[in-house]
Amino acid sequence: MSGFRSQKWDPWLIISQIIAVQTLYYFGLGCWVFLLTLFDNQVPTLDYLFSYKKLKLSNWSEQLFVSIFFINALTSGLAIVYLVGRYKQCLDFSLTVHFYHFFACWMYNSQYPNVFSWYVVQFFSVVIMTILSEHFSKKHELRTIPLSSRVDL
Amino acid sequence: MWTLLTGFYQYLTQKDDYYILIVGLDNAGKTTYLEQTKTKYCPNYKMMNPSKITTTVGCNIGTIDIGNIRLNFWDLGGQEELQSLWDKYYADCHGIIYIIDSADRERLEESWLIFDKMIQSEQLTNVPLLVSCNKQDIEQCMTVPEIKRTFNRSTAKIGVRDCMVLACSALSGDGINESINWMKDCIVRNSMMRPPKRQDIA
Repeated sequence: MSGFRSQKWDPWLIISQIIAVQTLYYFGLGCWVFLLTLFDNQVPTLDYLFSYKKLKLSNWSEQLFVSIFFINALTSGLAIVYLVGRYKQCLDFSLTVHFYHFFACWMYNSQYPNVFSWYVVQFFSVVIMTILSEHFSKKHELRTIPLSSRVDL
Repeated sequence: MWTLLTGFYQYLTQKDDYYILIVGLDNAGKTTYLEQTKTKYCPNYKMMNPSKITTTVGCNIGTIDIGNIRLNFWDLGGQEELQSLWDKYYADCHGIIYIIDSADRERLEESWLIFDKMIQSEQLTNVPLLVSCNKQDIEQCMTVPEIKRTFNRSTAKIGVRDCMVLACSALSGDGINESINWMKDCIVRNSMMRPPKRQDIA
């Protein structure tokens, strides 16, 4: 992260950050899905990422699968801290990531999400991502700046 | 994405910021002039009681919106000790309004000396200048031609900038509309030489 951010509104920076965060979100999700399917001896497909059926929570394996989203929320939160690092924009980026995921799921399933548990999972995912990224970016922004002066202040 | 959209909205709706300096001797009526301008151009503004307006120490600031530009006024104190602060504002201003007390015959020469000194400043080249002969509501006040005779000695130093002499009365509000409209037109015309300050969108 650069040491000093520019004070002006920079649209290209924000757009590139959105693309980067979204990319890392899906990359992380893909990695965790791959690991899970490795243990479960199943074929990793895009269904795990986007389909609503997988989140119906009707049996134990699907309920375990939900935890993948939460773990991914943690890693994406760290990605937001790394790429953006501004406390003010953490909620903004978390919501943006899930907004685009909502549209991606819509296009994949050809209908809007009609599974209630899908909304619950996304809501908690937003909450986890926001709180984690805000916590770490606050710590980062408020750290003491070391001055190399000889005089003891 | 919210920051993106709100920033974009502010970028589209931002107005050009211009700064106007109001200077003159003490007791010329600068603060009253500023109050009257704010009353005329801001819809809900309640003017301060003129008898409560006292000497300005430091600066009074006013902002009005005309069309798609924003005019900011710096009303500086005119007392002798405060006149040394005037040149700090010259580099950043886009227009000057010089207020003269038309009823004060003894101090007219003093007013001209200050005016002359101000005009010579290099940081004020090509900045539009409005000379406002205030307090025209008092009987026995000097007329504009009379004041012009004293101030004409500086014509050479005024140079090529836009310059106008207007009569006005800050207490009654006559002449202020024409003054501000003229000043606004000149500043916009001069924006090549002195561009407006662009606000930074955070």
